Amino acid sequence: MSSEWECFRRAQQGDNSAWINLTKDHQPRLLSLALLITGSSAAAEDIVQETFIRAFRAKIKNNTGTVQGLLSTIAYRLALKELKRLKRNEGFDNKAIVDKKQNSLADILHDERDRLVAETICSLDNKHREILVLRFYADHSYNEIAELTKLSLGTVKSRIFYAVKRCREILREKGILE
Amino acid sequence: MNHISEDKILEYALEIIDNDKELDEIELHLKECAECRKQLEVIHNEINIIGNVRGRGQFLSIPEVNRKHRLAYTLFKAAALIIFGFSLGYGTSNWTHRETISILPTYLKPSPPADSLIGFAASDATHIDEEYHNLILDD
Repeated sequence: MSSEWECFRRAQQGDNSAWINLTKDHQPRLLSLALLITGSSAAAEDIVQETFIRAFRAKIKNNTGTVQGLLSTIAYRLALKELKRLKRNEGFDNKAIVDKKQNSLADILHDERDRLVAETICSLDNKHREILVLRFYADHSYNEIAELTKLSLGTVKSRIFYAVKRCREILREKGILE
Repeated sequence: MNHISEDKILEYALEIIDNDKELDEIELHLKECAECRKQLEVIHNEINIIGNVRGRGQFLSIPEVNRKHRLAYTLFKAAALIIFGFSLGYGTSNWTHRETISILPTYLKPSPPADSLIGFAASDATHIDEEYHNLILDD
């Protein structure tokens, strides 16, 4: 058993120091993942909490993957579910959604550059944003993303290319990138 | 020297080029061209910025759910075991042969009255002679 799985198992058994290590390693990235998919800081924090609870309930029989992979897959699925719920509730008031997202980002992202980058990622359409987040914030390989999203490998690769290219263009316009 | 296009360098940086021949050509060019290497470095940095937004949320306390869940699971297992045991006992009780027990009704033969009471009827016990009867009424 790898050291990260050993740490995970000890945290499952109530070891507080293992828990602290686990959250320190994974919480910021999971929070970004949930935030970038849902655009809501409140939802993102709930998703991260729920992700850890579900992971702790899980009986891990085959730990060939990584702890990061397990946690980010749970967070990703919860975030998609939450996004659907938010869209249903918010209806079609796009301006309200954008304003709310910007306020939400500022709640969690204290760094100005991080906030602008997050805004840029959130401005992508769902299908491109999803692939970008899974690649960079869930640390999944292209094959894993293809499996998770049920898309072909070629589609995943073309979407990540477009997503990063578009982000670079927007960030240059904003003066974040040279 | 023809430089590699920016899009191609981005594809290379994202590791999405499948064609081995194309990949070899790019790597060969990068070895020789400082300008394209510089461009690749810039793109790597940009990808790093795009992929490294760090959220800072509240510290999460350790969930108690696991212990609660285990307790619930243990209780569930105990309940299931009891129900299973009861069902098993009930089920096997129908398989074993039982001897039919028949209980016949027993009839008790009434015993004869004591000898001293023979010759008296039930009404004799309540009979009051007339002289005593008057005494009772006078009182």
